[in-house]
Amino acid sequence: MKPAVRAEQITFRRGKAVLVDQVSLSASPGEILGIVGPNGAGKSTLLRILAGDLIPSSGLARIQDADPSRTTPQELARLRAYLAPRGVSENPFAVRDTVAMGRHPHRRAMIDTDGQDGIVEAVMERTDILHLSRRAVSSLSTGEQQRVGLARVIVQQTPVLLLDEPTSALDIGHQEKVMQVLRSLAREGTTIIEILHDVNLAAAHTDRIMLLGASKEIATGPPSHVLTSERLSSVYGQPMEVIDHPHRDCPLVLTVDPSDRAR
Amino acid sequence: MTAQADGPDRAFNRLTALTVLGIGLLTLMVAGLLSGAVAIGPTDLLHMLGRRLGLTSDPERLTDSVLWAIRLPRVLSGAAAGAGLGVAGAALQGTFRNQMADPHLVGISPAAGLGAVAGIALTPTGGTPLIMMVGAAVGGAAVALLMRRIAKRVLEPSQFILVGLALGLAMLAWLGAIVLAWDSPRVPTFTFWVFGGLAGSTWKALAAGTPIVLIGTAMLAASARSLDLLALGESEARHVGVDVDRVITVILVGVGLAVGGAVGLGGAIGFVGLIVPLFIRRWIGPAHRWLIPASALGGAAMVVAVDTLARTVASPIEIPVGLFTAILGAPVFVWFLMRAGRSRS
Repeated sequence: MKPAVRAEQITFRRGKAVLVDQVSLSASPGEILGIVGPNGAGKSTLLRILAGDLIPSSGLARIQDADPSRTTPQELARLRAYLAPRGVSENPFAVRDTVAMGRHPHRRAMIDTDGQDGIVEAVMERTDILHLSRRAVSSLSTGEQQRVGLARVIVQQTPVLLLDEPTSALDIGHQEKVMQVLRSLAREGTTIIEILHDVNLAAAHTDRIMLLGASKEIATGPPSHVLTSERLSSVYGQPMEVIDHPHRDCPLVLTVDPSDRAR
Repeated sequence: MTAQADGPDRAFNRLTALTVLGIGLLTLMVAGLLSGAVAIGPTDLLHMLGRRLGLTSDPERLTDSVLWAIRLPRVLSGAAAGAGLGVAGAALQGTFRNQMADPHLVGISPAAGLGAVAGIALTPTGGTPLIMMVGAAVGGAAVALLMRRIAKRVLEPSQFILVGLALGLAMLAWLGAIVLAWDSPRVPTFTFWVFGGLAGSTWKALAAGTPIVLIGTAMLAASARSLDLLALGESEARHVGVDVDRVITVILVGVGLAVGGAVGLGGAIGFVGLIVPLFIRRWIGPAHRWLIPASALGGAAMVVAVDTLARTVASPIEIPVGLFTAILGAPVFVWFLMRAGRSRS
């Protein structure tokens, strides 16, 4: 199948620092690709290059065959939606209005088609923010704001979703719920590339994982291939043990106390 | 930022607000026409209007010329200047996501003053009102665009305001130096550029300034949706398809025109662009398609009301209108910031 997202030999330098070093990836329609790795590994930079925020120093990025750095904001907004890592929003608009802003790229000139088809309400329901509809975004907790951001990105209805830590502020129940929403979007054909800090979330809810370390690609493949105890221990500088998940068909990563290692 | 729930009564609120502001503005304008050193009653006003509209052929009265040549252009100039400052403040606060952004505090009004004086200086004939106002608009827009570049480097909202204040004070100093050294009757006094004043309002200036304010306001009203989307943050707005750089350039040129026209008409009148949008946003919510027109009406009403006070309270002495807006506006603004601070902590 033709990839929906493609990156070839991407390098990104800032000054003398190489933030992304010759990384390639591709993701097919309907696939969920997780990007994991320690802080400063270049995950967010890579995602922002795919989103068109940053122009790579060398290499090629394509979203649905379009070069994100040469596509108008409006066209690009119909191809990919991007969720930035969570900051605190001072946005004074109500939750529903904010989610409806995700419909902007589909708006025909001068005619207000926001929130038609009930898409906005349906997505708010799935992300569990319908009850917050009239609250100002600035008055919400970080986790609630993150769900609003996610809903806004989903109503954009793009073939590609790029998510930078979409669940970092969520409680464990909402984490699972969001992962299920993303899975059902993928079943409908959406390509999802997401950065996840929780390795076990990535193990359970992605089709493939790319492990980045020190700006380079360490390994890419199905979670059970990529997540091995030696690899994770060396990339994170922390001893890890990987076992089979007792109920799910995926690996389970456990941290190990370095002083217990001998046992 | 205070919590602003979008209650079910908000749509009703918006229409009520526009109606109340519109009627309030008209009432204040009539009150402004009727107050002053020469006693004028409602019948005199009707008489003047009747004559001007050709409805009656009664003989001209003294009050007719006071109304027509002095008070009407003054009240209309105040309304146009206030409207320009109100919409400019609303747009600046939206663009920079900074409640303290105001044409005065971020240096745009002083820049407009400098531009106006440059316009007068550069025309050998002595500068028509139109040239002065175009100069003001160019100066205002140039500094608005410069502040945008500064905002990209300065992340802290208060730092941004401090940079604007410093720039504004420097420009005001240059303006003072030029005006005082030049000492030409062609140039309005330094007081006009610091505290404003509507005493010299003429039909000619009004005819030059109003279209400039209107064009600026129209540009901002047309950008209402982009201003809403900018509340998400600049990069988020770009991610949903807004051509952020282009849109902000249009907005800031619109701000330059609105402020340029306002400063050309009434000089530097402070605090209008600051407190009017703050209150209107609390009243009807953050959506700019309502906020922009309501701020135009609110700003106009505030300047007309304050100008009437300024010329009657110590009559026959006139107090510059900007002194009054500062005396009234500064405590209100401090109160507002303290309230916002309390609700945050």
